[in-house]
Amino acid sequence: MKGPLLLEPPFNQPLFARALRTAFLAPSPRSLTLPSAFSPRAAHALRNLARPHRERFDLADRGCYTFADLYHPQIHALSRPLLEMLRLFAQEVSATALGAGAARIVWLGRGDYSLRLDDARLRPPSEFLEATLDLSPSPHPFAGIVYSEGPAIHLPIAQLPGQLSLVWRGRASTRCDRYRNSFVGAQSCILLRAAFPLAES
Amino acid sequence: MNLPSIQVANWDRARLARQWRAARPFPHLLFDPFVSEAAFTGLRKAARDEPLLVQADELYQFQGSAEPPANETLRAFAEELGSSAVREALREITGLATSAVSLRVYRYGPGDYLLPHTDHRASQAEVNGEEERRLAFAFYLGDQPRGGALQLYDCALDDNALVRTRPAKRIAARPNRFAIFGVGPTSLHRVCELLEGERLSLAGWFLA
Repeated sequence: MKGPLLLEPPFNQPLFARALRTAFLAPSPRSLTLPSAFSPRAAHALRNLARPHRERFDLADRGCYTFADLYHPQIHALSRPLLEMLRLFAQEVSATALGAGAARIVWLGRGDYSLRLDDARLRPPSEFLEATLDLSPSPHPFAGIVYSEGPAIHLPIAQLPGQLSLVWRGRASTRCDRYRNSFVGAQSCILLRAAFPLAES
Repeated sequence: MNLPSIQVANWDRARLARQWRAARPFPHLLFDPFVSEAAFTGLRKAARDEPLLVQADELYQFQGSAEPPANETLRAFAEELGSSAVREALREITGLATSAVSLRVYRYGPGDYLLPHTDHRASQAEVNGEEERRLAFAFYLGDQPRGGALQLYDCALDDNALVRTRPAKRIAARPNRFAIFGVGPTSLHRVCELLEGERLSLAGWFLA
């Protein structure tokens, strides 16, 4: 694919982002899930770009999955405009000044999972906004990503290629990727995850 | 059920203690078979009759009963398992003194699982006022399914966090097999995904 890897219009327009602010602020946790943010071609290109830099994580009490750090020097030149676009979009939607944080692509295949303990070890210590862009090649009704905050709040997110989800994560917020059993099938769930902490004033 | 079903007087405690200490990746034992055929048949029927609820969390997906189970046969078995005769024999074998047994019926169908965890919660127990789990056990009551094995991990611990985990041993869920292991910060184990059939068990802990 030629040209930069960017969000689809109108995700590049501040007015569109601002119009979503009320919808983002209403639920608990503050969150928004939007379809068609990223084209299948761009997702394919990004997956291919990151593929040679994949690493396997396997620590059974935390999780088993494959990932690639988007700050890897050979990826970052091409992923930086997308991450910056995501940050600006998240900033407008949340009406909060956000800085750049960690970003990675995660592949969840058959038998993979990540538990809240893994999230606790990787997440920023203070509150932040987590953006997840679904790069999967095909949809799946399995709502494998589950955000929780206390015993009563659960936000499951299903696999939908091109979908962008924004979740405001307080200190008590946790996230897990549920175990992908034989009913989920062999098709991987591929996610770009970026953490945007509060910008330093 | 005719009591006693657990032939504790026949256990060769010295041999079992040696096996316990030599077991890897962490102390465990298998009793094959555990109870008489008649007792096994009665317990299997009781477990199949027990009301179960679907339970799912980040760690697991299965069906489980209340604790203790409602069925009288199962309650009598729990009482026998927690009797002073059995607990004293296990103390001689494992070196661990216990005071009570907690158990439930579990049924795994295809796709069900229990992800790796240690059962260890000594510090949490102090906070919640719950009793410490010293020994964990599973008693298999169904026909041997495809999948659903108990997998034990070899682990390295650094500063109270596991820093390396490696699958080390698989224990098949054979009918009338009783598996028991010591609970500690490195007793990492899982129930592998059940692929076909049914995995029916009584499982729980001997508590401090």
